[in-house]
Amino acid sequence: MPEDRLQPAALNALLKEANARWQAGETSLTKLSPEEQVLRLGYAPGPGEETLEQRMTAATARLAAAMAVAAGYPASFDWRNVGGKNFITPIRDQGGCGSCVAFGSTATVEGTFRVQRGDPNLVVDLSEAHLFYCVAKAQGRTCGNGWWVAPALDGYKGGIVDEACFPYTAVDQACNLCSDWQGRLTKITGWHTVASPSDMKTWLSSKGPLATCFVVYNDFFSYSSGVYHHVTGGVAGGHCVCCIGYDDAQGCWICKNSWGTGWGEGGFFRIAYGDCGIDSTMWAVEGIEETGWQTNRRVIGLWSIDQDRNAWAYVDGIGWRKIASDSDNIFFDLLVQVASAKTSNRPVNFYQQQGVIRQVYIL
Amino acid sequence: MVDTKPQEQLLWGVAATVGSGAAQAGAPTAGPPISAQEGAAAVGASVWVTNQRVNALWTIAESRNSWVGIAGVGWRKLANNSDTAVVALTILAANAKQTQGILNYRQEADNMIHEMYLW
Repeated sequence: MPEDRLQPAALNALLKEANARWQAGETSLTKLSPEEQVLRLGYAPGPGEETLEQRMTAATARLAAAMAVAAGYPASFDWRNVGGKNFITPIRDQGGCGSCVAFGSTATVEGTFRVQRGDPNLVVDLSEAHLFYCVAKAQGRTCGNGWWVAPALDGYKGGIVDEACFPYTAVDQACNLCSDWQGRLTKITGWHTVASPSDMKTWLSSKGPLATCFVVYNDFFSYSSGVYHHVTGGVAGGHCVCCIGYDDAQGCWICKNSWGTGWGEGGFFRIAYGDCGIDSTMWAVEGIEETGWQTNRRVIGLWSIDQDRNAWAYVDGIGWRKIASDSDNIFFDLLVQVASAKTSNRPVNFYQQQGVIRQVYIL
Repeated sequence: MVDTKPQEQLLWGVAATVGSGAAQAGAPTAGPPISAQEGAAAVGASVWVTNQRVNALWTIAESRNSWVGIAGVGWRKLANNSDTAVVALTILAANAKQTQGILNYRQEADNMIHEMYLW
């Protein structure tokens, strides 16, 4: 339709007329044909999930709840600036492939990993190609028919390699993992959906980013800044991104897109509470399952409680790790040695399995 | 039978002031201390006492009877509901004594220490 392809000047005139809170401009997406634009999406609700229409209806119904001020979380939060630290990995570009679910999910896992470690500089770049061209492909999903979040996060429970092991290119292709891929997997401990705006804000402000999906209208491709809300244009399709924060004063969620830095606010966007189904349901990654050796670390804290075999060590740059508690003997041997490492402030090499310390060298 | 206690006069130190803390069963929730602020804050029957130093230890040949001398506070018994818990808490207390690290602990209505963070 003609109004769907409005030039930025004409669209901005419409936005002004509508008292819109966002601005349109030439973006990396406005240069594409409608067919190419749709390929930058890729969210197809799965069996039993809300349809796009149901997401919009549910989000609209929860608008009052989203706008409400409640205790338990701050009035605004942004993982790009937590005490001056940025926990969000760089903006990616999914290109001409409907793989947004892989990008939104991966961005959420990467951000969660940095938050879990408490390390904004943690080098983590996971393979969207593995997630999409191996896991999704095995389920019959392609660049042309998209995917949904639950199986993508299930894929992360099985493990996804790092980007260098299977670099992303935007075309359907064979699952082509590196030879040592089995030793390069990052797994998550679990995931769950978050349904209420207050729970979303609580999670965002304390645990990490959330994956979310929404309805993209054609005016969204021209978004350059501000708080987006749908003004004009028809539905282009469903899209998934990573929600990294919110702002109650502006009444918006802050999200990371996968359309490169030439779109939006350097690749990010703000979108109004309740708009386009953005906050109907979001997906939380519960934690990163860490298995393997960590070397040259320092134990800087210890914790214990009045419970059987329950003690933890705080490892600098990693965070809290539980001491293995298979037996009294194992528990105390490890605890005494870890405590010794703290006392002497000596470096330690330790092996953790799913985040539990199971072997220690004090150097 | 009443457990033996350490003698109060064998401990000395400075007075504590007020601060805050938080409790959760099963896993630690607090990160490393950002600033040193002594204190104690009540959460129901629980009291978190923060930024303390251990200046004495005491134990005796009795089951689950281990005490910690807190500077300015006095003797506090370690929770005695579990063999492994009392030993783990004792290990942390001994470490605190040796390193003079910052100790944050949760004291319950029974006046025993039930949870410890040591930095």
